[in-house]
This record gives sequence, C-alpha cells and structure tokens, in this order.
Amino acid sequence: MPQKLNSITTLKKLWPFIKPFKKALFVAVFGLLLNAATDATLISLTKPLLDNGLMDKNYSLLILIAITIVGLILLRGLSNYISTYCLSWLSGKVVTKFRQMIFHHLIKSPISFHDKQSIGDLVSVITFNTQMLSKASSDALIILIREITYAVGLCIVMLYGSWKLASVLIILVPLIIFIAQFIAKKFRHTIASMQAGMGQITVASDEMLKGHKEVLIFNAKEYEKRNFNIITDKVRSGMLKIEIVSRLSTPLIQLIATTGLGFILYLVASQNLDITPGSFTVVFSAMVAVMRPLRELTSLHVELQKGAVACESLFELLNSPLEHDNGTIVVDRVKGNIEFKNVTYTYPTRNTPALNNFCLKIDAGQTIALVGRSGAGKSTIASLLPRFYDISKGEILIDSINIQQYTLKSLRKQIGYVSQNVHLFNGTIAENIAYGEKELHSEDDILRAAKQANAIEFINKLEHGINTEIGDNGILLSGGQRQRIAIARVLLRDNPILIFDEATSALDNESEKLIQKALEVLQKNRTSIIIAHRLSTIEKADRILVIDDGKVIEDGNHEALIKLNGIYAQMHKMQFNS
Amino acid sequence: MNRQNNQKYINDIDKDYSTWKTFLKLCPLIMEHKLVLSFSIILLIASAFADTSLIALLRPLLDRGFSMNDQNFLLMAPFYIFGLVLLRGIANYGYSVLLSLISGKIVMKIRQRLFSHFVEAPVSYYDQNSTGRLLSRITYDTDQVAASSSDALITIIRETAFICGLFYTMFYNSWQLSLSLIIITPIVIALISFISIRFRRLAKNMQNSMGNVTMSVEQMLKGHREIIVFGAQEEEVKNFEKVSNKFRRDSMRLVSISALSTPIVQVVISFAIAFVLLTASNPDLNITPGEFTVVFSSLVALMQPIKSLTSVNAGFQKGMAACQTLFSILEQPIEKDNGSLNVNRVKGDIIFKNVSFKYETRDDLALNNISFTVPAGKTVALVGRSGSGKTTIANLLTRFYEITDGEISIDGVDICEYTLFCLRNQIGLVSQNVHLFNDTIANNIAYGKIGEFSQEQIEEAAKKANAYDFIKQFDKGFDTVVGENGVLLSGGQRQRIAIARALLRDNPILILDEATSALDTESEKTIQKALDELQKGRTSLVIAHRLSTIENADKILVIGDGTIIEQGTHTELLNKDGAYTKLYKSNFNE
Repeated sequence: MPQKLNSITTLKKLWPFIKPFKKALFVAVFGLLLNAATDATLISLTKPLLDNGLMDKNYSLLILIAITIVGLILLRGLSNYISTYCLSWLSGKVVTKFRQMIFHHLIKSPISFHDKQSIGDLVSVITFNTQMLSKASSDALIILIREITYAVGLCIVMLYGSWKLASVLIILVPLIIFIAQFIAKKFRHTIASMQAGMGQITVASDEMLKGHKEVLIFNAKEYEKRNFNIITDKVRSGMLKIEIVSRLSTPLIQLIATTGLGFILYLVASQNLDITPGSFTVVFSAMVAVMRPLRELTSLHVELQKGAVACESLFELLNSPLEHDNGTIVVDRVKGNIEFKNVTYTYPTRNTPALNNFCLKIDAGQTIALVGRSGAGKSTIASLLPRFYDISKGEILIDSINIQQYTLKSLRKQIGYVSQNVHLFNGTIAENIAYGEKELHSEDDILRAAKQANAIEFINKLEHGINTEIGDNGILLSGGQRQRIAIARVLLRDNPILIFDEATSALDNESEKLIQKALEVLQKNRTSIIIAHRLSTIEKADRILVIDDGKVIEDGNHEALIKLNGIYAQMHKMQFNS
Repeated sequence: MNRQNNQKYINDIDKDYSTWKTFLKLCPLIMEHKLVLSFSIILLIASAFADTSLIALLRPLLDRGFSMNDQNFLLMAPFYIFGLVLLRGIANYGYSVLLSLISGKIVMKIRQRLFSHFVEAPVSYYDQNSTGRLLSRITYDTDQVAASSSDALITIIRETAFICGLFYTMFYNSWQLSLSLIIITPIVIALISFISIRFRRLAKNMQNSMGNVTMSVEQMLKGHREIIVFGAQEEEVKNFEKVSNKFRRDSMRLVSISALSTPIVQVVISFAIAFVLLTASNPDLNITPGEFTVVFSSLVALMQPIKSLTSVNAGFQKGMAACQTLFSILEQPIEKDNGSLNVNRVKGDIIFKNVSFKYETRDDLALNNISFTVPAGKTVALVGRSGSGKTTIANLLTRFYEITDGEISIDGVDICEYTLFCLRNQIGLVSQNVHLFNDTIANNIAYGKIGEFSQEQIEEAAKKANAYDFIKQFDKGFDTVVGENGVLLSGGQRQRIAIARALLRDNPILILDEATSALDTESEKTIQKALDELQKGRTSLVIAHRLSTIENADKILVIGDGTIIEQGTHTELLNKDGAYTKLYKSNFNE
C-alpha cells in the first residue's frame, strides 16, 4: 500500500475513463452551478422582500416575488434532477467500464499471478472498491462544484446585503478551511485500513464457504464462528475510531462561524450601524445557510481520500503484468514435434527448481507417458508447454519454433489439455463440451465427442440429456462424470497435441478402458503426452519416461523398461503385486 | 452462456414482507442498545430544538432588535445564538458518534449471525447456492444495512422533530400565514409513499444484479485455466459485459426515481411559500416583519428536512430490502440436530437398513433400498462405476444429507439420535477433493481441534501419512502457510496432509473416499501400509477404483445404479464370476 497518497494525482488518472462521457459531465456541472445560483438567489430575495415588500408595504412587489420564488424553485428542482441523473449515469458508466477492464485484465493475467491472489480479495475489489470509487468521486464532484459555488454565491449575497457585516467573513473563511484540512489530515490512513478490513472479512467468509464440508466433518463450527467474530469486531472498532475523529470537524467549524455571526450582531448593536431589517436578515440567513456548504467542504477531503484509495487499488490491479504475448507466428495446425532444450524452471513460490536442465525430444505422432513420484516434475512439463508459466532458462520448441514466438492464441489452439482438476461452468453439458467454440460445432459433433469420452450413456439418462444444466462447477455430477465431460471437451477440438495429466484418475476401470480405446484411435497422428499413476493405462505408449527430481531417469517403451529392471520395473511390480 | 438465468439453483426465498415488517424484525437487535439509543434520541431532539430556536429567534431579533431598536436585546442576542449553536454542536457530535457505535454493532451482529447460519447450513444448501452469492450477502448486503440503520434513524427522528418544531413555530407566530401547511402536508406524504413502493422493488433488482456480477467474477477466477486453454476469453468478457451492464441499468433506474422525489416535493412547498406571500400582501392583516420572516424562513427551512426525509427513505428502503434478504436466509433451515445422545467412543457397528435416498436437485434415486452391515473393526470396500452411489453412502453416514427412507445405525442406535457433534467426532473422512485452509500445515493437520494436540502428535501423524519429509523441506516446516486451498502444494502433498489430518484424530470409524487417487504408486504403497495399520480395530469404509487397494477388505460391496449387486470377500466374489470378476479382470486385461 502506497504511503503518501496524493488524491488529486490519483484521481486525475480517472480522466481518460471520464473523457468519453464529457458531455454528461458538462451538463451535470452546469446543473450543479445552476442549482447553487438559484439557491443563492433565493436567499438574496429576502432583502427586497422585507425592505421593499413588507416595510414599504409594496404589495404588488410581494406578488411578483411570490411568482419568482416558485419559478426559482422549479428551476432548482430541474437542475438538481438533471445534475444528479447525469452524474449517476456518468459514474455508472465509468465504474462499469472499470469493472469490465479489470475483468478483461484478470483473464489475461498469467497463472502465476492468480496463484498468489485470493479469489475473495479480487471479487471484493471488483465489486466493493469500484462502488466506493463511484460514490466518493461523484460526492467529491458535487461538493467541489455545487457547494463551493453556493458558498461563493452566498458571500456575494452577504457582501451585497451589507459589506460591512460581510467583511468579517473574509477573515473567518480561511481560518475555517485551515482547520478543516488539519482534521482531514488526521485520519488519512484510516480510510485504507477500512478497505483492508472489508477485505479480511471477505477472505475469512470465502474460506469457510468453500471448505464447508471440512468444517462439518471436523466439527470446527465453533472455531470458525469464533474466528469470524474476532475479525468482524476488529473491523467494527476500527471504523468507529474513524467516526469519532471525523465527526469533530463539523461542530468545530460551526462554532467558529457562529462566533463570526455573534460578532456581527455585536457590531450592529454597539456601533449603531444603520442596517435595514432586510439587509440584516439576508446576511443572517446567508450566514446560517453557508454552514452547510462549509460542512460539506470539510468532508471533501475525506471523499477525495476514499476515492483515491479505491482508485489506487484498482489501478494497481490494472497495472499488474499480463501474460507475455509478444509472439507473432500464427499457424493453422502444427505437425507436433516437441523439444525441451536445457529447460530449468522454478515456480515463483518455491525455492528449488522443478525442472533442472531438462531435455526431451518428442516426434510428431508419438505417444509418450510420464511417470514418477508426485512432485517430481511431470505436471510442470505439462504446464510449460501451453505456456501456463514462462521459462527464462532454456527453450521449448514446437516444430522447431520457440513456443514464445507463436501467438498465445495460436499456441493454445494446438494443445488439448485435460487435468485432474476439472472446472466446468454453470451451463448445459453441451455448452460445456463446446466451451469457447459454441458456434463452430453442431449438436452432432458434440454428441460424437460425448460418445468418444464414454459420457453418452449417463447423459442420456438425464431428463434434458445434453441440454441439462449442471450447476456451479458441475456440482451435481459425480467426479467421474465431470472428468468425462472434460475429456469430451478436448476431444471435440481435434488438437494436434494432447496433454492428459491424470485425466482419468477419477474414473473406474471400465470407463477408463473405454476411453482408452477411443483415445488409442485418436492418438494416431497426434502427439500425446500422458501423465498417469495407473501404469496399466500407459503400457501401449511409444515411449515411457521416468521423471525424478526434474530429470529424465529412464526412457524407453514398456518392454525395454521391464527388461531394464530399473525404477519403472519396480513400480510396475508394486502396482500389480497383490 | 445464459448464466444469469440459472435461477433454478438460487434458493432465495422472496417472501413479500413490507419494509415495516422487516424493520420490526431488526428491532430486537436495535433494542439491545436501548440506553445508548434513548440518549441519542434525546440528543437528536435537542439538536432539532436548537435549530428551531435559532429560527424562532428571528422574530424578537427583527421586531424588538431592529424595529424597536432595543440595544440591550441586540447585545444579548449573540450569546443566545452562541449558546444554541454550542448545544447543537455537542448534540450533533454526540448522536452521530453514538449511533455509529450502535449501527456498527448491529451490522457486525448480523454479519456474525449470517456467517454462523452458513456454518450450520446443510450441505444441500451449498449445492444450490454459489459461494460467490453467499459471499456477497455477507459483504455487500450487510453493508447496505449499515448505510441505512443509523442514517435513517438520525434523519427520521431529527428531521421529524425539526419539522414539528417548525410547524409549531409557524402556527405560534401567525396562524393565518401558516394555513397553507394544512394542504401541502397530505400531498407531500402521498407523493413520498408512492415513490417508495416503486423504489423498493428496484432496490431488490439491483441487489440481485450485484450478486450476478459477483458470481461471474468468481466463476472466471476459479475456471481461469480452462478459459485460457479453451481460448474462451472473448466469450467470458462478453458475458461479463452483459451482466455488469444490467447492474448499471438497474442502478440507474433506482437513481431516476430517487432523484425525482426531492424536486417534486420542493415545488409543492414553493406553492406554499407563494401562498404565504400572497396572504402577507393583504393589507388588512397586520403582519410584523418579525412574524413574516419567521414563517417565511420556517417554510424555507422545511425544504431541507423534507429533502432529507425523502432521500433517506431511499437509503432506508435499500437497506430494508437487503435486510429482508438476509433475514429470509436466516430463516431457512439449518442442519437438523435433534439427537441428544453423546458417546465418548462408539464401537463401530454400522448397519444400513433399507436405505433409499434422492438428492434434492436430481430426479433419480441415488440409493435404492440398500441394506448391509459392517461389524466393528472390519473393513468394507465399496466398488462400482463412477456415479453408482458409493460417495453417497459416505455422505449419508456423516449426515451431510438426511435419508428419505430406511435407517442407518451405529452401535444399534439410529444416527439421528446422536448429536451431530458427537457423530462426526466418531468418523474420520478423507475424500478425493481435499480442501485445506489458508493456515499453517500444523493447523491444517489439527484442524477443528487446534490446541488439543501437541506438536509431537502432529508430527507423528505426518510421519504415518508419509508427509513428514516434504514438510520438513519447507523453510518454515510445519509452520509454513499453505495458501488458499493449499495452492502452493502439489496434489499428492495435499492429500497426504489430509490423511495426516484424519490419522491424528484416531476415530473409531474411517471413511476413505478415493483417498489415494492423486498419489503415485510409491506414495500410495507407503500410505497403504499406514492405512492398513490404522484400519486395525477400526471400522473402515473404503471407496476406491484400484482393486489392489480393496482386495484385503473383509467384505466387498459392488454397487451399481444405487443398489448392491454383489457382496462377499474377494475370493467369494471371484468364484461367483459376476460383476466383480468383470471389474477385476478389466484391471489387467489388455
């Protein structure tokens, strides 16, 4: 969190967002100015009303003033409505644009970024912070334009009413503004901590909601509740502290203003100044009326602060690095020759490299299997190929071209990727299978892919078949069913390179066998990388690589490795030994 | 994808309570702070009194001070004024701080109740509500209630008192001029109520749109890898544009109504002012400047409180709409815990008798008249195709769901008769979806009983789960924080921690639901040894696809389509040459 926040500079960054809606802004500003002007005019009418209307008993003037008042209030109402509407419209547009930009940015952010973020935090920024920015900046604008203009207008009215009386104010105003700034400075830091507090609540709630089953089975209900109570109480008392300090400014300022008023009255009384009731009432009313804009002005600082803090957090997100997509090569369909050349890679969150000077060459159309202990580096190999993470040491080539030279879109179109963590989307089964390419496939295509993935028979049992809604992340399906849909999803796309990372781990043997048969047909003319623990599934691979500590230990087909009687042979014995 | 229309899975019960009824429900929470509240109300009235007096002061000021040139009065006036403003200042500060205190506490209470309710909610509730939506209830919706409770109270009491004071002042000074009030008051009230009804409906729409925005963002963040891999960025962005624009439009509709109310009311008052002027222009009535100014100023002063009242009504409506949603959530059923039996440690005899069960969101029976027994200390393995009902059996034993037919008993007692706390203390569960918490490894292993186990016990459990080695490799060892849902660990490492978690608790009943699915053969073998050791003397329900895991079970149940197809020992079933044999053979068949 930045320590010194210059609100104005931060909010200036908003201008490019506001620019497209300039017209609405000008209309709103105009409305606010008009509003302030009518208010000041209304007050100024008191003088002619009292002096000329009542004292001089000019009744026709009274009637004229009556009509003027109604007219002014109508104008006031109209300008108020227009300015409010325009400002809301404007801030709605800006905030929505922000939200969409952040969404877009997050989609394009690298996986390493997402690994470090909490989902709850990000959701809170997109929903809560943007809301706060919108409210704070429009409040700030209203205060800036309307209240300042009003205060100025009232000063003019006062001076016009009686310059002698009004001159006292000229001394008071700077004093008041000085005090206001002083108090505003006092709680500069607390606004940021209020947001952080909300973030804490979001994260704590999110954790519990996601791990609810664990909470139940481990009887941790009381523990979670207690924890949450502590957090919420901390946030509450923090916010209260802000209130206690911030509320002091208003009464202080009003007292000072009143002293000015009292002084005027004293002057009038002791100096025997010749003041008409009208002049006096005008100055008196104006002075009472000016308290409101002055009070609003003190919170201007606060609003600007709130806005700046919210703004800063949003821009921080927008400035985070995106996935590097500097490649320019677009290819329709690669042949599928893969080569890893001296690749060393360390995850940003770990200390030791996951792959160390790793070398591997795969010919197009080969099926290779990666086996080894968990954490040995197999999934890393699978993650680097589609550039989920970017390497800095070594090279990864497809068809002899460095993968960083392809455009990301083109690269990923070549690779079909299924992992053991399946994420499905809220929608129908068909929509999920055709995810991202809805228009390109007919229902027949989808059904065919479902059949190949051995998913068709459970799909047919559902009421709406392929058009059944599957719920949040397919929660209504069993693990195996979700995996089959994920496989169908990839099969539909006909990629020249396939990566299956424990893609069948949740399936029973029968389903796996059936998919296996379908895959064997598909794997012809495709380069496939299969990671599996069940050695029975990979015995037919062209090459089996045993990976340990980020290096290739053994390399050969099933028969060769069994003859070698090395690690693979051992693993094989263990799995089939009863 | 038409995500917004997935209303089927959103279980919001929208009963049509009026704002008032909702507010009444809020009252008990407010009443907890009776004393502070009463004091605040006194301060509010004092503030209104000060304001009214300031205006009333105009009459003597003008009539005696100016017209009659009473010097003494003019000299005293500043002190009166100062005194009144001081009173006002103290009262204002006092009530705003006190009410902040109260509303902060109330909102915190509601948040805690909501959280508590979500903790106690049955698993089926989570099947039907996305966590994103529930999250926005806790964060966004309670915040709306905050905005409304203290602001609303301040405005309603203070401005009402102020209006009453002004009315009194006006009539006291000149009843003739004040006649117009009698006409405009009902008009204003009618306008306000008409607008507020429309407003409330719009506020609710906006709330729901917000929930959809939250949900979309969550979906995108959770499914990020899929989006990248399937190149679905455009689609997701377009969908979000739709959802966020809908929210924008819903808020604009709200604004157009609320922005309208103030100007309309003020125009009505302007007519009253005009009336006053016309009346004053009647030469027959002898109105002093003082009387006139007071009535006139009072009328003008009326605009502010009325404006506040109408705009706070908007905020109040919004707050009550949010409040109603929250209360209706709180009224939904929590997990049934009607049992009263508390046992230290069950023996572990499990009996399923004619159990049938259907998930709420599906039509077919997940389990159909299942019956089987597991004597204490024995291991039962459940095998079958994925989706056949194995995990459901585990879900029912832990009472994540309630059965519709039949009986499940432990040690001859229906599981519904145990308290949930006691029941779940007897059962250890390791499933295929491991959820870890953003806390240290040690706290994850001891989750639910943090502080009840020593460091040695935790490390011992980790050793048995074959997790000790990799944990020690981290800089902070057992004190390493694992990240959100253990994102910083590999799949196998997470599962081993989950196994350690179960081992630590030493439950008499153990459910292993594909507990080793993410492990490589070597780790699985080592853990298998530990699990075998653990299973001695414990009743174990093991669900796995790998037949090597279950061959040593005391009994094997072959589940298919929610019924038991075959049961027996490994040898018995092989001899039957039925479904089990088929499954067994397919594990090795080329």
